[in-house]
Amino acid sequence: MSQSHVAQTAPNRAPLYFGMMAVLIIAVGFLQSWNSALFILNMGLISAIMALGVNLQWGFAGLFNVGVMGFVALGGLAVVLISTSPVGEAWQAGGLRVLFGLAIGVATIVGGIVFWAMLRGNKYRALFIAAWLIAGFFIFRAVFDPAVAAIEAVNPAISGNLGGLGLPVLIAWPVGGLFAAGAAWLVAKTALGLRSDYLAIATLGIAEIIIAVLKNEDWLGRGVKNVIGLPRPVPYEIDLQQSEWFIGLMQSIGANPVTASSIFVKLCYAGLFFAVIIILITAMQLALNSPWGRMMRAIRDNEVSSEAMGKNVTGRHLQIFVLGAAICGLAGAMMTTLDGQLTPSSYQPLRFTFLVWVMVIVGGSGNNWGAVLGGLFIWFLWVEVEPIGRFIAEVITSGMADTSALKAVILERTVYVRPLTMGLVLLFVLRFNPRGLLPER
Amino acid sequence: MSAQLEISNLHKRFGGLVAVKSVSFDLKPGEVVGLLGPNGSGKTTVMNMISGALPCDGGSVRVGGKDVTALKPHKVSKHGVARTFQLVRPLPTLTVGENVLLSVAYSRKPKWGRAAQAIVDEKLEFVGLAGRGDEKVTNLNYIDQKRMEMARALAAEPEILLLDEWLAGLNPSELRIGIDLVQHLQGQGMTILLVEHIMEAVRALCSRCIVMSAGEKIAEGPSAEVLQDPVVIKAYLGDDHA
Ligand SMILES: Nc1ncnc2c1ncn2[C@@H]1O[C@H](COP(=O)(O)OP(=O)(O)OP(=O)(O)O)[C@@H](O)[C@H]1O
Ligand SMILES: [Mg+2]
Repeated sequence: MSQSHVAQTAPNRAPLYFGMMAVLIIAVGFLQSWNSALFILNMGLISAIMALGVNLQWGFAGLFNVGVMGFVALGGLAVVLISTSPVGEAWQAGGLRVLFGLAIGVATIVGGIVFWAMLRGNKYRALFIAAWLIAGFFIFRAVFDPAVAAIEAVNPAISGNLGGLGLPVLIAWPVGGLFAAGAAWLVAKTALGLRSDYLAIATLGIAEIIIAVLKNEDWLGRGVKNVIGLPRPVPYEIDLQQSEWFIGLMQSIGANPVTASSIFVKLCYAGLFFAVIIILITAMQLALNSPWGRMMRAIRDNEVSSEAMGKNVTGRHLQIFVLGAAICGLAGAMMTTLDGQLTPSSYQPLRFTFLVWVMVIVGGSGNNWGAVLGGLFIWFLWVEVEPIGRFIAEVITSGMADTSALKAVILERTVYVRPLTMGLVLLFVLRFNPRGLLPER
Repeated sequence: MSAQLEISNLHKRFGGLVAVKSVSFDLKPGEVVGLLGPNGSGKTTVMNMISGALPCDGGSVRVGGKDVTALKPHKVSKHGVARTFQLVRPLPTLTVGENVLLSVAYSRKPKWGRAAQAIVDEKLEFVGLAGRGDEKVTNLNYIDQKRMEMARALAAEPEILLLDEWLAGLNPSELRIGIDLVQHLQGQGMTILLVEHIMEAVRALCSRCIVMSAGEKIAEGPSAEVLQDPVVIKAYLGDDHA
């Protein structure tokens, strides 16, 4: 009886909403171009994966991660470090010295932790640790700085970094996940088990640190000089345009090979992204309906009684936080692969943390399908409201004189349509569907 | 015989308030002991420290001879301690059966699939919720939620059971059933610490009682004697009745 009641109040709207999403994207294809439609679809799928990661942490464990941007950026770094070719000259100039310097840095910190524990009760403990850390820092800089300078001096216009391993770029995707997982593990080890706001502060901080490192450590990923022309897992347009089978195929369906080649490449990406998202969502749905998922829901419901039933709340939180971050890292690697470049200055919290949160909340936190829907829908709006806003503004102002101050003001303001729309969507969804478009259950 | 549960000099402060002041007592295996005291005397706090839900500010808790004082609740539960809560704490997004199942999976003696389901059904039947495993917890009334919590505690197959006012709020016939249930557990040799205000239940179940007042243990001994102790009567009813 109770169950039928619940079923009546919450019909499954997922097919309807996903259908509407498909219609929107197809409409873009007809009204604008298929290239635009596929661009929206591809980034939408990547956004959906980021939303899945955040949803795992927030929707299923109540962990507040406001450092999505950092984990996404680490995935991007993985693409550079895995797929670009190593710069032999730079390695000779200072590769091993840089690694040695980093090892000294790590040894300083680990030594500090070990000595701190060993010297318990010693009244000179603080003094000794301070001296140890300061000495370690100076030795680290003495080894590290010249090595970095040597590497960055190697052909700075095109490299100035160590390069990568020269492996296939698809390997960078799981590695991006691993990088993010490692950073998440460090954050979680320090901040989990404390009050939950500490986790928020720690993630906020680590994200900014990661971006700062990416921007400033040129030897690693060329910093703000960017890495461009990253290898692809799919064919290049130019190769397609010159290959006989492609030209033949396009002629037989009467398409322009140049436009078609770019659509073909985007379709290849879309296929890859679909594969990843299907694997992820299948794995997550299976996990969440397994005893493990039941335990996670129990912990989110009530930590005290779950603990009393023998559930290691901090341990499970650590696990799910690391997993969620790994998914964000994976998405970050996919995004950098799609872009074909790593541009550290493009990582903005508004775009990579706030927007992903809007996706999760609008989609319906706690529901994986909701996260995917939110990712696609919010990304669609993010891309489309600006041209729509500009179009509307132009229509409104079309009758005004070009010298009209009002016209200038209106046209100038169209850039604010994007954040304004995000705010409005969030408000409307929270007002009329407080648990998101696809609520948890 | 060595003690199953041994607490000594337990201390707890909440800011300036000393909620528990060097409280010590032992439970022998198979004993059912009442922990009594007026409201706010620190009974729940003692239970929270035994189960690890609150860290102790001093003293120690030993379970079956092993020190569990500094352990987190999930570790304490693996030493065979299970509890119910004074204010029920169901897991609202799980069904009644899943609430109980959770105690079996990933527990001290984990079981999965059919074996786990069998235990769930057995415990639900034991507490009088047979066949209601698929209902939503939020549909259960308060008494049934308490029953569910008992089933959940028992499903972990504990050796020590901490019951915090588990019988409170029952009507006379339900109380009778509740007392029978605890007696049944007693017959199976379960060690039980029972916080209770209902004297009828205390007399029926507890051979021995410990009485707390304002964070301190003021009396301990056979129930009949303790309940007549003028110090205890005074603590409960004020000076006039002593
Ligand atoms: N988490 C807490 N923070 C601050 N004070 C607390 C906390 N828990 C309990 N106290 C205080 O400690 C004292 C003892 O509380 P406790 O809940 O142990 O009493 P009790 O004997 O279980 O009472 P009751 O019969 O009402 O359940 C009370 O004064 C209470 O207000
Ligand atoms: Mg109490």
